[in-house]
Amino acid sequence: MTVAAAPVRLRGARLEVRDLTKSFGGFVAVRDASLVAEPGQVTSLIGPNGAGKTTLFHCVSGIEPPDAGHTILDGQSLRGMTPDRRARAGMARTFQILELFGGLTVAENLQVAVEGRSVSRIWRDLFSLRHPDNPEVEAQVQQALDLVGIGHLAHRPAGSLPTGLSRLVELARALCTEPRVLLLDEPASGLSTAETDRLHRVLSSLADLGLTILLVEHDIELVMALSKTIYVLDFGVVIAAGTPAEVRANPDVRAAYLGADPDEVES
Amino acid sequence: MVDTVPAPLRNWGVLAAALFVLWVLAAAPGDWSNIGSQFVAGLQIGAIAALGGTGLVVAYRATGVFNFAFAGIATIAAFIMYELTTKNSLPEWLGLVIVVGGVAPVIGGLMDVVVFRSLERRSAGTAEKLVANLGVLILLLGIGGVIYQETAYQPNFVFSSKQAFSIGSGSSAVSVSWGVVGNVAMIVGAAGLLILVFRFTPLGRQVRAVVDRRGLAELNVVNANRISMLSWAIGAMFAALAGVLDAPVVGLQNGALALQVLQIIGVAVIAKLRNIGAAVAAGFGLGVVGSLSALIETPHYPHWLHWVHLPSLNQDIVVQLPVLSTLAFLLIYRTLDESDGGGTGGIVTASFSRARRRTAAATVQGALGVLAVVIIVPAVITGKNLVTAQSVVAYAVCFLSIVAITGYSGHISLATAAFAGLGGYVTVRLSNGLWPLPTTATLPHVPQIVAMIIGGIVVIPLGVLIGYPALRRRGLILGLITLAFAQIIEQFVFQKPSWSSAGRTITRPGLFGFSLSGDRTFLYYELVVLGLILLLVRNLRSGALGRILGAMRDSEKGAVSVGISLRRYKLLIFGASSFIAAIGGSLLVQQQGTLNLNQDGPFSPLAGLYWFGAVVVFGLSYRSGAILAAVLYVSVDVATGRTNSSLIVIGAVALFIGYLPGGVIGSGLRVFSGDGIDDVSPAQRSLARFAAERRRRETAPPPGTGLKPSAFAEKLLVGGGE
Ligand SMILES: Nc1ncnc2c1ncn2[C@@H]1O[C@H](COP(=O)(O)OP(=O)(O)OP(=O)(O)O)[C@@H](O)[C@H]1O
Ligand SMILES: [Mg+2]
Repeated sequence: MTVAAAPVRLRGARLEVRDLTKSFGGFVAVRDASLVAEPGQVTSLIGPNGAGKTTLFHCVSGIEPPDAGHTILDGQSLRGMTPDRRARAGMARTFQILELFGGLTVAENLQVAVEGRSVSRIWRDLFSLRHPDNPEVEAQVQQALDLVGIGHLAHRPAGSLPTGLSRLVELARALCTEPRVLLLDEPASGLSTAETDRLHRVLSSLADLGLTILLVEHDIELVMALSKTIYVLDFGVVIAAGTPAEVRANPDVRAAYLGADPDEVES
Repeated sequence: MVDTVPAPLRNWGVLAAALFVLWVLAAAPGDWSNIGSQFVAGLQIGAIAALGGTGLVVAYRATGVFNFAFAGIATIAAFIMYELTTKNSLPEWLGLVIVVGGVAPVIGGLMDVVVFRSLERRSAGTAEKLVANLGVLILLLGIGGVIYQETAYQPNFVFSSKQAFSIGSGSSAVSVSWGVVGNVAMIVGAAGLLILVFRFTPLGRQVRAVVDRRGLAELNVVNANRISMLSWAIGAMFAALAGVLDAPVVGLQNGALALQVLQIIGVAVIAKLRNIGAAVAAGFGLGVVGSLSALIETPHYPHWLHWVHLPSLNQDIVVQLPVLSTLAFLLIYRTLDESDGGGTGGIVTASFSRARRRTAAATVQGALGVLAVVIIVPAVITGKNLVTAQSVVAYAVCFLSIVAITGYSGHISLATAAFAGLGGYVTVRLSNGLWPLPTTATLPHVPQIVAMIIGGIVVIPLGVLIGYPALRRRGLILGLITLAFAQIIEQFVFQKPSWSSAGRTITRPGLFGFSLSGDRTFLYYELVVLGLILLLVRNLRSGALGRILGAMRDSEKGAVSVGISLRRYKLLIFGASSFIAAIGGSLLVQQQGTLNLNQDGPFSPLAGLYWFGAVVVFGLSYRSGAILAAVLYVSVDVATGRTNSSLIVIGAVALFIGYLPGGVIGSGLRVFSGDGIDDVSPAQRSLARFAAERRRRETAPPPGTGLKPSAFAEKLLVGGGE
């Protein structure tokens, strides 16, 4: 796979999360979490099930309003911004519980991502007789699909794909929004070994090209291999941060994982 | 998640209620006995609302389906009661035992066995269950309508209106009739019985367990079946009781009684669809407040406001309390116990036009075929069939509005008939030289076609207004909001003489001096309008716009994550669909020559429910679905010579919507051309997604998709990676 063919403009942005707190009813899912993701590298967020990783992603991408704290993109606070504005500001993401457009084809899923941010075509589409596809958009879509290795699926209904492939479609869709920050929530779960390898290569080359990637992933080999920095979240609290080696050696992390009764964590 | 009414808001609510009582006390003329007897009368009405509301809550809690059919059950029960007691002079108590203790549970049980059990077995989505339930409503009202037509009957009161006892003495004594005692005893007894059953019988305890954690029902199929049957039966009994008691008060007429009973939805909404005690309190509260408000004298408004007839508006606001509070509480509660997440799986399907590109030749052939039909059919049909065809075309335009709003963008709207009625209303008023407002001031007469276009445009802002709540809500709750909106339009505009008594007739239009009044020419004119609307609707589905709307329908989170502004597109689709409905309503009025605003007429809130059912049956996501629905809706009545008979067909098919994913057309396409879904349907997928989400929320911390923590920790700490 040649990285030069990447369809996206890769200008990463520094993502900073400062003192973020989110609770549901009385239950605090994320407590005073802070982290930084730098352009040009993969930063990972790990932690056991229910640690609050997805919740943090929802807050950062604007889908859930946080109770307190800031999300800062290249020095600018995103406070009060709707999720679609955050997306237009360069924040792209994938979902742990898939959010594909199941009634559209795979290619259409990506087309929406390319076209959805501009208003100009709405009124024209509403009142015109013909709706020709834009060849530039189609080319961009095809490139993104090829990049993640699912170019042959372009005309399949997105709702009919197995989970692993759906995750790749979500990744390709995120890439079509001209992202500066990529938030990936367990992109490798459900992927075959070959697909995971490909994901590995894609992510590391995207990072090399300058994109900011924040990764939530349970595949620990992938995390260790890709990340420059790892944050560990446990019961909503960031208990450790550092390079893979540092995190592995961290006594708090050891205590958190080995001390915890698996039944308690697992429900 | 648990309690979403912010405390300040609740306090404001209490304050407002207190202020209202003070206002009544200050403004009410006369003595305490006056207030006392209004209060007692309020209890009598409130008890009925409490019964209906409790039934709704029980059914919703135990089955997860909002029981729209309760209004149909109430109506049928009232008719049977009328036959038994008023007509055949059975004693009232015996009638009550037969209807409430026999007929109602049988209806409820049948609903469970015939309809909902199989839906449950097929793990149908909430939207499908909702439609099936609407089907029951439509079927029951269709049966009532075919048998009793629109005749109004006056049944005997169940309890005598003689005095049971009086409170106080002398001139300030308040008399309490057996009617009050009976109604209150009914709700107290029924709710008490319910609580006893729930608390102290094994089955009741299981129901409660299911109610608290619906997932448990899956553990034991036998119990789940018994529980769901019991819940539907109880729901039906409460509905029947409400109908039997309400009919003598408001009169017994097929659609009208159902409309009255539908107002009780407000009681269930105030109780957040969950709390039986709150439903009882809300029922009594609404009854008493509404009754007391009759004492308020009409305040004086400044002279310059008189043209809008505010004095009558003041009275209306309190009289129409149930509907207004339904809407208010639906908007105030940020979340209700909405079990569906708003999906439309099963009733909405996608056709992947892009996946199978049509060839140019096929397009030309198709266009020629359509052209042949629209030119030849009108040319060969004559007389009565011509009128039927006209009616079909007008309804088809109305129904296309439902395709746009629900089929293409996934929003359940039950207010289409209201928008259509508003379009017709504006057209008629303008063409008669009247403002479409409660005023007698005049205007120059506006030509019908211009008036129709103005009608369409005027309605757009209202559609956009209804779109605002849709920014945060979908599914059932949006359906309830739009239904409440339709009821408000009905009560504040359509049933208000000051708005709509004058200028109800319209002549057929002309164009550039050429009259379109001949039956055949008028049909061609309608077909042209239909053609333009079909193009507009097609454009909502094709191109970038169509893709974006489809994306929003399938996943709102996904859509915002790629930068799509939900607000812009939701408001657009609500505006567009209300425009289409208004044009359709205007055509219908031009075709009929009069604006029929009767409660059983084409623009009542019930019609909105019927229309929705009709389109769902044929396929919400297809333009042809709307057209076929219109054909059926109109022609069955014509063929049988009885109005309402099409409802029986529509209702009956809607019961089995679970077997017809995507409606008749969607399922047909799937069978005949393999169009649609390769292996998993979007319905199944969205259901699976919802189930996964639900499970996550119910179990904290959730079962994850990743590794077990121990294995995770092992890899993290012991090795792996590089
Ligand atoms: N909408 C919600 N309402 C109530 N509780 C929630 C909600 N969303 C998440 N939670 C709770 O917050 C906690 C954190 O959930 P979250 O999904 O963020 O965990 P996670 O780290 O992503 O776990 P996983 O590895 O399983 O994906 C969980 O206990 C979960 O039950
Ligand atoms: Mg998660």
